[in-house]
Parts: sequence; structure tokens; C-alpha cells
Amino acid sequence: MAGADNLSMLGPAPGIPATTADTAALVEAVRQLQARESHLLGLLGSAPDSVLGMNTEGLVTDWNPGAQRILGWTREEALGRRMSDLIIPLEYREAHEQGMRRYLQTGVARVLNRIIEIQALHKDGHVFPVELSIWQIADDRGQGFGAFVRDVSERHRAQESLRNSEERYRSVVENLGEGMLVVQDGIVRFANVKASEVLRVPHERLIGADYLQWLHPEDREITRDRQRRRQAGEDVVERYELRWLSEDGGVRWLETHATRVTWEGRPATISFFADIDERRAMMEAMRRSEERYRSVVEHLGEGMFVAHNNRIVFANRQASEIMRVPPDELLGADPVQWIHPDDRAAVLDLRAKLRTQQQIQERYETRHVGHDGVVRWLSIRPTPVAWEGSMATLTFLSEITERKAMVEALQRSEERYRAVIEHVDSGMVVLQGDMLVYANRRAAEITRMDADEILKVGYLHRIHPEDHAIVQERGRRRLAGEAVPNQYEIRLLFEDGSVTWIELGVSVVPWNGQPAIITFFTDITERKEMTLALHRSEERYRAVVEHSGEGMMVVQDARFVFVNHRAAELAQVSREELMRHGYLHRVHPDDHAMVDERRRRRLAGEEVPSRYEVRLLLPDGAVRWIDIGVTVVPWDGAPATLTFFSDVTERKALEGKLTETLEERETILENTSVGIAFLNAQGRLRWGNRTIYDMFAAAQGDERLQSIEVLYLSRQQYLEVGDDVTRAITRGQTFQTELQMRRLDGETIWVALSAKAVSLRDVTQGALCVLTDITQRRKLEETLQRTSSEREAILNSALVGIVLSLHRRHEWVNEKFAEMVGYTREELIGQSSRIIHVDDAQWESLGAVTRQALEATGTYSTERQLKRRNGELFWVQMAGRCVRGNDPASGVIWTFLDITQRRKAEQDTRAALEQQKELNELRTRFVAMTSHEFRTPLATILSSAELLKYYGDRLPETEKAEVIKTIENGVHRMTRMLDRVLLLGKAEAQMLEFRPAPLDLAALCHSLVEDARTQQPGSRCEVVTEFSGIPDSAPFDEKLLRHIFGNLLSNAIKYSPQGGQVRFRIYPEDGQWVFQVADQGIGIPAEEIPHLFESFHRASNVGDIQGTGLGLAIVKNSVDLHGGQISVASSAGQGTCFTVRI
Amino acid sequence: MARILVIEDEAPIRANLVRFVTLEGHDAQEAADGRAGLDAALAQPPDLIFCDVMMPQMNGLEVLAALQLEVRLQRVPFVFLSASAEPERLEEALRLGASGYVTKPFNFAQLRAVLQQHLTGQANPQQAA
Repeated sequence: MAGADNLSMLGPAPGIPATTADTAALVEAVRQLQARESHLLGLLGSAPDSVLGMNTEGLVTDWNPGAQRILGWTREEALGRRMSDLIIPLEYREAHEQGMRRYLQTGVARVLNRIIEIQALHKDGHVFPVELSIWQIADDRGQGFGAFVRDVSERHRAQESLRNSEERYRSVVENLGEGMLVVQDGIVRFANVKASEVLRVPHERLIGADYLQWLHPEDREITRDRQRRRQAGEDVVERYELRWLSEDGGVRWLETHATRVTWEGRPATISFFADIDERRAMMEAMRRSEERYRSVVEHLGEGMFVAHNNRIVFANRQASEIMRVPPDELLGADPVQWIHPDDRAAVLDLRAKLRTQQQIQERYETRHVGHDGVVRWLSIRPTPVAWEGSMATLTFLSEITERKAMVEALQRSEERYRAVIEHVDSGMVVLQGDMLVYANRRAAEITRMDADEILKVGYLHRIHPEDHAIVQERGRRRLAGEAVPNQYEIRLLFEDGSVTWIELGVSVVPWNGQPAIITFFTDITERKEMTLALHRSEERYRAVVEHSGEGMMVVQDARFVFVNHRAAELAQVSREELMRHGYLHRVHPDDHAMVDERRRRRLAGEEVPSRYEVRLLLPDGAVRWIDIGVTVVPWDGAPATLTFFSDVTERKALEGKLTETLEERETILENTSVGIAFLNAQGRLRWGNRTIYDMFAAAQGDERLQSIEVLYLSRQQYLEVGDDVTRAITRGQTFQTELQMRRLDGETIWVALSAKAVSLRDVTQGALCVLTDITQRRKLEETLQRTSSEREAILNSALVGIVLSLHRRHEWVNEKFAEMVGYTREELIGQSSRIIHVDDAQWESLGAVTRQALEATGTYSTERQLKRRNGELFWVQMAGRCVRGNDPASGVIWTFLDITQRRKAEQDTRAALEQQKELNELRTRFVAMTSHEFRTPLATILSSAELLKYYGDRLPETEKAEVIKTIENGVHRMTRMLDRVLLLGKAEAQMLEFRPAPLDLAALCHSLVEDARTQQPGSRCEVVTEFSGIPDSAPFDEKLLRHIFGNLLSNAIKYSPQGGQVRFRIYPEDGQWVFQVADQGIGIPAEEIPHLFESFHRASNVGDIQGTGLGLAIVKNSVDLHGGQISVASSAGQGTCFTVRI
Repeated sequence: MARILVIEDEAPIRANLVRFVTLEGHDAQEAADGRAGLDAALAQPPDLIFCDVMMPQMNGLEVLAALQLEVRLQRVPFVFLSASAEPERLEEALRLGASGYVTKPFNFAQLRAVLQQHLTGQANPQQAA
């Protein structure tokens, strides 16, 4: 195929003439043709695609540079070779040959005249995709084909990668764990497989549906809104959760992540979502667990907080309540700040220990000061814990103020009790089990040990060896439950050999809740020694009597009732014989007469010498001179004759000795400070020491005491005590009691009585009574008891609050005071008085003033406001007086009288007076105003009337008419005045009506301005109006507006005597109409602005400018009726601006 | 014929007073406020002055005080016309040198008596109502 021939392949050549006759035309045609050919050759040569030619034999006839580039073969190599060998891959060659044969035979071609895509073979052997189009060429050289081959491997690669990407994308989308929806215009455009699964809606129903229908109704609106805003390009939250209504009726929580994307060229939302019900459920469970934990923590009886680096990171409600610090303040705070300053150092020390040693602390107790300023005791237990990953301190706390107070009260009570038992004269020890748990000071003194020693070693070792047995035996029997005498006496033996008698009183009592044996012991050594001395003396006396050299006989009722040994010896008869027969038969016969006679006379009561000497004639015939002394003695309650007889010498010696003994005995007994009395078996006083007589206001030896019945309050008491004494002493016990007795001067005294038998062996010997006057002690006790209970009762029923305060702490308060301030007495007692005062400053200032006054005069009284527990303030009159002199440190008794009511009454009265005063002023102003404002027109009217009356005939008609006109004007003026007064009266009686109707606001306001100008023609003011945004018609009450602006405008002009500008502005603002009337006039003094709108009130600077004082009152009422507000800004000399908002 | 100055800010009252004075055969001069009244009196001393109390610019009492400073005007009878109900204020005016006062509403008989008293020199005890 020649190059030029190939041109025909490109289409018919233009304008080739039909004949060659016209040479010139032909030449021209050829030239054109050649030009065109070279043009086309250039095109072919530079074409990027390959252009090939092939004849019907399948041989290459044409091959352009593009073909060389694409297919590898040069034009020289390709021309004349088989096309199929060159460019058709082996596997397609057969099909190619067949296709060509078929075409040549049948004219049917599959590939002709269209673009197909096939594989082509490169010279280097690689196969690549090409686009091929083939067309038939029929020219002068016969049939052939042209082909156009374009390398499309690039495009293929792009398509391939696109397909790959699409596949990858699909496989991602379809295999996503999450559901995915693409929503455009509210319609689902795409949904992946997972979406159907998660949403439980079949794919085909999802596509094209409005997905909102499946949303929980509560989530629809917000989702729709987000969707809309997202599409509008706004930043909308991307991740959120929403509820999906499954078709099975269940609700499922979805976690959604939505973003705006472009989908097929238009904005859409792509949403990824996952079913988070399970996660939700888990979180819900976690939340519930957290809640449970919290509710436990919050409802713990104890407060609890967690501190990290000493800052509270968590605190439960109780902690806040206990500490009296609001929860938000606790967080982040160092809790030590609320510790009482006195305890802070100790707490910080504990904290340091906890940190360094990481050991669990014991609970400790500390004082705390919360927001209310009250000091409370807290029990605190810190523990190191792990808290959110690091170490922190978990602290439990509880309030123990009450317990502490109780303990303190107990301690105080205990102290008082101790003070009492420490200072009683009795020793006291308490034995619990085998342990001595308590011993008082006196016990230690008596046992001569110190307090610690006695508790440690007890006192049993002090017991005299001889008394061990009795103590042990009694102890054993008591424990065995036998009745054992509660009181007995034992001896204590000390190292130095001295002995102390103690009297033990034992009883079983509860002690700290457990039974214990309490033993009181009194040092009775003195008493014991006295008794012993007495016994010894008695013994000595008996010994003397029995063994003395003197004979003794007692004769009673002519019978010998007693004879001593010596008597028998002297008479040389046996004692029995002597008792039976007396001694008279031994009397020497010479002395019989004398003895008989004396006896007779003595018995007859005559005075007889008591001493005489007689001779006895002894059986052995010897005569013995006996000195006989006879005396009448009481013997067992009856008179008897006691006869001594002795050898003179011997008797004298014995006599002296006896006297000495008796004196000794008496001295001892007389000098004891206790009363001692010997009573005989019949209860008669046989002997009493001086103290006894003193005690009963009797002279020594007073006969009236012979029967002690007089000393009792009644016969019954006498008998009862006598019986008790008898009963006790016959059992060998000591009778002890305290009783009231009567002195001889009639006064009643209290006596401690201790009675016991003189002789344990012979109770008929009577009783020894020891009496102590304890009146004073009893009186003190009674007074104490009575006064304390009476005091309490009286003070509690008092109508005033009473407080005993010491160093500004409540030592004691009565019920009324507690009621007054709203605390309980227990809370108040021991607490600082600060809590009932309004604040620190007041409390401290009161403290200073009070102290000064108390130190100066001992008393102070004031009226103050105090604060109740609930924060309410109330007035009291409080008066204080020092317990002692002018010394507040001795305590101050305060009384509080609630005067809130009185204060209020005072205030009410003051307010009423104030109101009355205002009313009076108002009346005065009214009178002054009416006077002036009515007199002026009246003067006009009267003068006009008189002009007409007196000079009517001389006045020209025109002038008459003028005068008549002034009368009318005067009347109108008065009518207007009356109308204003009435209007205000109406307004103040709330009878003014509000009737809005549409009106032309601008026109009305302009006319009001005009009116105001006309009313004051002489004014130098310029009135400027600035109305903006006023509608043609708006609903106002015309009458009220006239009142308002008529008055304001006329005022503005009137009170600008120097002229200036009056500005009337109207503009809308915040849905209201704002009207402003501003002038540059005399202004209003600032202090008078509050009274500005009161009736008849006129500012002090109006001078002689006339006015009623009614205008602004009417304005105010009208504005109120219109539901508007009026405000004023002004100061004297600076002009005034009224602003009305309606 | 005397020259009588009427100082009164209320136009109708002033007009009636001028009419009355004129009809009584005197020469009336008028002023609508205190300042104008004082100027008029200074320009040409009148024989008698009727003067309102409450007026703008300068009140009656101020006018009186100013006149008292002028020797030639000290003897001009000065009668207040007052609508005020405060007699104390008027008593004070008399102390300051006013010749008398008439309270509004006044009648012409009262005014005539005032004219008679001050213009003829005859004593008339009835000064004011």
C-alpha cells in the first residue's frame, strides 16, 4: 500500500474534478491534493495511536510511527509481513484468520466498523490490551483493511485498580463489624449486611426508607435535627447513642458515629453503628454496683472521706454532716484545717506516722470546729488504702461529742463523789473478786500506806494476827451467803508495833456494774482504847474489890447482896455464911448496941456518922478492930447499904489506891469529845461524861437526865430505840444509828448513837452509849439537798432564761433558756456562749463591754440580739451579776428576757406615728395648696363681678364682655382644679379605669406638646420631639396618656424658668414603649426624689412657681394603671428627665 | 390723681385691678412679675403699690426688700395682695415695711379703703379684711 493511496482511508478527497479536461483545474486539484496528503501524513506520523494497513492476504501494507511505538516493530520490519504474526497473540490467531476468511467469503464481519477491545502482542512478546477499530478499504489496488490500534493498558490498569478498590471497599463494608447506613435527604441510600442484622430490618426494606421511623420516639427529634444541621455543614456531635425500635418490639441501644460525606456527588450522612445493648447492660450493671457502693458509703453511719496527699478527693454525705462543712468545700481541702487548734499538732503528728510507717492507726479522738463554730468531738480512724491507683488515706469518722460529754459528766460526777468519799472521815475500800479496786485517801491513811500501795497489796497484811481468823471466817461465811454481822472491829498491827483499832462496815454494792464488797472503816482506836481502859479499870476495880484488904458488904432490904472475899476473911466466916447470916454475930458483944442503933437510925433516914469502928470477936477469940464505913449507894437501881471494913492501916492504903484509879478513869472519860453514857439495864443514865451534859444543854449531874426519855422526841421513839438497842446488845452487836433528839432547852439535835453492852458476858450491866452531835453535818446535808433540788426546780420554772456562765461557758442553764435558744440543756452546758450570739464580732464586743462593767460594778445589763439554733434572731434583755463581788471569774449569773414582742410593738408604734405624721403633713400641704389655688381664681371672679356691679355703666361693651370672660375663665380654672383633686382621690381610691383603645400615638403626643406650650405662653422653652418607630395605631388609654404627658410636659416647661430645651422622645425598646421628657430646668434635690410622687408634695426649690403638688401623683397613678414604670433622673440645678416605660 | 403700680402675675386679676384703679380716677401702671414691677417703681416712683406675693422672677417680699433699700421709695405705701393662707408670712411682711395686705379674693370696698387711707392721708383703721 503506497503512502498516497492510504489517504483515501481518511475519507473522500475534496473537490476532485470529474474530468481531466480542465488542466488548470486539474493541476490545482492535484496541488490541493498533494497539500492535503502531506498534511495528513504529518498527522499520521505524529498520531499517538497506531494506524495500520493490511491487504486481504493479511499482509501489512501500512505502519505509522505510532504503531512502531505501541507495537515495537519498525515500519521496515513490519511492511509485507503477516499482520497476525506480528501483533495477534498466539491464542487469538486462529480466530483472526477465520474471521477474515469468513468476511472475504460472506461479507459478514463481527469486528468491522466498531471499536473492540482485544489483546495485542508486542514485539518483545508481552501481551497488552488495545482498543481496535477496523474498517474496509476498497481502492484501485483491490480490497484491504485499515486498523486503528490504541494502547489501553493504562486505562485497564486504572480500571483494574478501581475494581480492586471497589471490591476491597465492598468487602470492608459488608464485613464490617458495625452496621453502616448512608442517609441522604432523610432516606437510606445504602445499608450494609451488618446493618440489617443489627437493625433487624431486611435490606430491601431499609433501602429507600425513612430510618427515623425505627428510632425511639424520644430520639427522633434530636436525630432529625442533628441530621439537618450536619447536612447544613454545622459541627454536630458525631458520636452519640440512640434507641432503635426493633420490629420485634424490643428497644436496642445503638452507638452511632455519623459523619457528613459526599455520596454520588451530593451531601449525605454515613452512620456507623453497633448494638451496644450488651455494653450498655454491663455499664448499667456497673453503674448500679457503683450506686450500691455509693449508697452504702453515703448511708454508712460513719462519715468517710478519702484524702490523697492530704486533700480530700471523696467524702460521703455523713462526713460533711459530721464535720459541718458543705460537701463542695470538703473536696480538695485539707481536713486538718477543721481540727481544733489545740489538737492540730497531735493530728499532724499522727498523720506523719501514718505516712512513714504505713500502719493502721488506732482510732483516736480529737476536737473539731465546723462551720457553725461549735466544738465537737470526733472519733477518727485513718487507714491507708489504694484509691484509683495510688495510695491514699481512707478515714472514717463519727461524732462522739455526746459520748464525750457524758463521759465528762460522769467524770465530774465521779470527781464530786470522790471528793466526798475522799474527805469523809471513814476509810473506804472496794473489793471486787480478789482485787482491791478502790481505796480512798482516808483508807490509805488509816492503813498507813500510800494510795497506790494499798491498791497493789491490799490491807489484809495489816490485820493483827489475832484477828486474822475472824476476818477470814466472816469472809468465808459471807461468800457462802450466810448472814454475817456487817459491822465488827478488828485491829491493825503496824511495823512499829503500834496497833490501831478499826471498825469495819461491810456491804455488797454494785461497782462499775459488778457486785463488789465495799468496806468502810473507821479508826476507833481511841474509842477502843477508852473502852479497854474502862475494862481494865473495871477489872482493876474488881480485883481491888475482891482482893483488897478491906472487906466489903452490900446490904439491901436487910439482905446481904454482896460480900467480898476480904470481908469474909476479916470476919473469919465463909462468904456464903456471911451472905446468909451477916456479920453481926461476930460483932463484939460490947459493940452490939451501937451497931444496932446506928443501923436503925440510918434506915430511919437519920444522920448517922458513916464511919465508926467496931470490934469483931473472932472464933479463935481474937478481937479485931475493924474500921467500918457505911454508905448508902444505889445498887442495881435501888438504894443499898455499902459497908467497908478494914484494918485501919491497910484500909488507908487501899483507899488511896482506889481513889486514884477512879480519878484516872473519870479524867479519861470526861475528856473525850464524844458523849459517853452508861445506862443501866433499865435504860437509866448511870453515868454520863461532861460532853453528854453539854450536848443536851444540861448542867453536870442534872437530875432530869436520870431518865433519858426526856431526850427523845416522843415516847414512841424512846421505846423503839430502846428496843433496838436492847436487841442489838443482847446479840453482842454494836447498835449504831443516827437520830434526832431533844435537848433540855427544847432544841432538836442530830445525834450519831453507838451503843453496846458494857460487858459482853453480862448484858445486865447495862449499855455503853457513845453519842456524837452531828446536827451541823445533818443540817448541811439537808440544806444542800434541799437547796440544790429547790434551786433546780425554781430556776427551771422561771419565766426568764437563766445561765450560770464561767469564763463565757455555760456551766448551767435552765429549761427556759434552752427553750429560748432552741438547744437542749445538755447541748448548752459546757458549750461556749458564742453559739447563741449573732457572730464573732458581736460576741467579742459584748465580752469586752461585759467584762469591764462586771469588774466595775458586778452587774451588767443590755438589750441584744441573739441567735437561735435555727438561725433566727431575737431580742433579749440580758442582765448579768457576778457570783462573787466584782469578779467575773467567779462565774456570772445571767438572766435573759425575750423582748422580741416588745421590740416589735415599739417598732409598730413608731411606724404608726410616722404614718400619722405623714398624714398630717399631707393635710397641711393640701390646705396650703387649696388656699392658694382657689383664692387666685376666686379673686379674678369676685373682682370681675364687682367691676360689673359697681362700674358696669361706665364700661364699654367690649370691655364688659372681656370681664365676663374672665369670670368664666376663673370658674373653669377652679373646675379644673377640683377635677384634679377628684381625679387623684379617685386614683388613690383605685377607681380610675384603664380602657385601652387604638389611637394615633404620634398625633396625640404632638397635640399634648401643643397644649403644654399654649398653657404657658410666656415660657422661653423650646420643645423638641423625637418620635421613632411609632406605628399608625397602637392600643393606649388616651385619657391616661393625657394625664401622664400633659403633666410631665407642662412641668418640664414650668420648672424651666430660664428656658432651655425640653426634649420629648418616644422609641421602642425590649418590647416596650419608652417615653422620655427631659428638661434643663431647676431639677429636683436628690433627697426629695423618694417623695416625688406623693400627693401635694412639692420640692423645696420650687420657689414661687405655682403648682398643686398633684400632677406627679396623678402621673404615677396613671402609669401604674397602664402597667408601666416611671423613673426619674435629676439633681438640683441639673435638669430633670422622666422616663416612662409602657 | 395718683400713680398706682399694680404688680401681679395673674393676667385677669391684674387687668381688673388696672380697670378698678383707672375707674377710681387714678393713673394705673402694671407689671407682670416682680422684676418688672421693681424696674417700673425705680423708673418712676408711684404713689402706691399693689403687689402680689407669689410671682416668678422675684416674689413680692423680694420686691419690697429691694424697694426698702431706695430712700426715695421707702415711704411709698406698699400693699400686698395675697392668696396665701399663711398669715405669718404676711405679718412678717408688715414687719419688713409693708403698709398693709389684702387677702384674695378681695372686694373693691377693701381696696377703696386702702386708697383712701394712703392717698388722702386720713387714718383708716380698717386696713384689711
